[in-house]
Amino acid sequence: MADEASLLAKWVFDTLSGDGTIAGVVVSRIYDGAAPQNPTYPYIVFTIIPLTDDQTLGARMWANFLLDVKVVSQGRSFATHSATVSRTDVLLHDKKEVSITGGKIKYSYRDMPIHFPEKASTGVDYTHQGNSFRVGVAAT
Amino acid sequence: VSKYVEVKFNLLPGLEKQLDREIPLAVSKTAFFVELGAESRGRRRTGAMRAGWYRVTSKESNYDQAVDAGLGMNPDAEVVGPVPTPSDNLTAYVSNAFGHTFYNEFGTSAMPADPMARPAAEEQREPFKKRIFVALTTLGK
Repeated sequence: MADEASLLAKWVFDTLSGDGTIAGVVVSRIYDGAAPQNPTYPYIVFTIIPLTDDQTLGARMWANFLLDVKVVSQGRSFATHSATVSRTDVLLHDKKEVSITGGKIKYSYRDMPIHFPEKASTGVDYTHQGNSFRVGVAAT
Repeated sequence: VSKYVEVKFNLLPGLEKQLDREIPLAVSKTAFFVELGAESRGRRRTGAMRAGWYRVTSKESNYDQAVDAGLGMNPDAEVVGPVPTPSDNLTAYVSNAFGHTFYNEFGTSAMPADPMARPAAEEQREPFKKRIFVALTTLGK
């Protein structure tokens, strides 16, 4: 049974956590889907959004996803983590036929940037900045 | 060899009218299904967000109904203004009348993202192409 979403999650986690620039900012705080309660900032959270599979003559070719990857930080400055966001773009954008354990990243490219402030009910300001990617994953 | 072409039938004006009718219809239908798809996703606490989805074309908007329905479920929900009316009949917008929807789509510091609009739009990508294909292949029929 193929589980392309888990393959994608592992690729994102391994790619980001294995990069010195990213690790220098968020250490190991890279979360799949949701950050833990009372997290340390900044952190990276990614969200995998399943789309329709690509198929040919009834055979599945690969699974398509939207992938949101964002840096969440306290404060109001977007400039502080701009370089980190750019680095995630370098690591995940414009990738084709990347072999991973259990499958292949068929393609990955940026679809749009993500950039918005949040004022929590506690009065604390947060910034959310990152990118949304389109990714195709084939399981072997 | 004749130098002249005598036009016996000219179907072009009819085809043009048919296209002007069918393509905007495909756009409008797709917006309807995107709205429906977004509605069917997402968290439900008060239901305002789910009721708040609406669509706008150059001819119609159900923004007011969405606001009324959402406020009926949560009178305190923050209403945001309607998106602009498209200037042509080949464009449709699907949006939500309540401000917290954006934060559900992309997540907050305290809440994971729960995307609704984008998967709903993606789900209609192929059906939209099929609607356009049908409109083109049934021209003149």
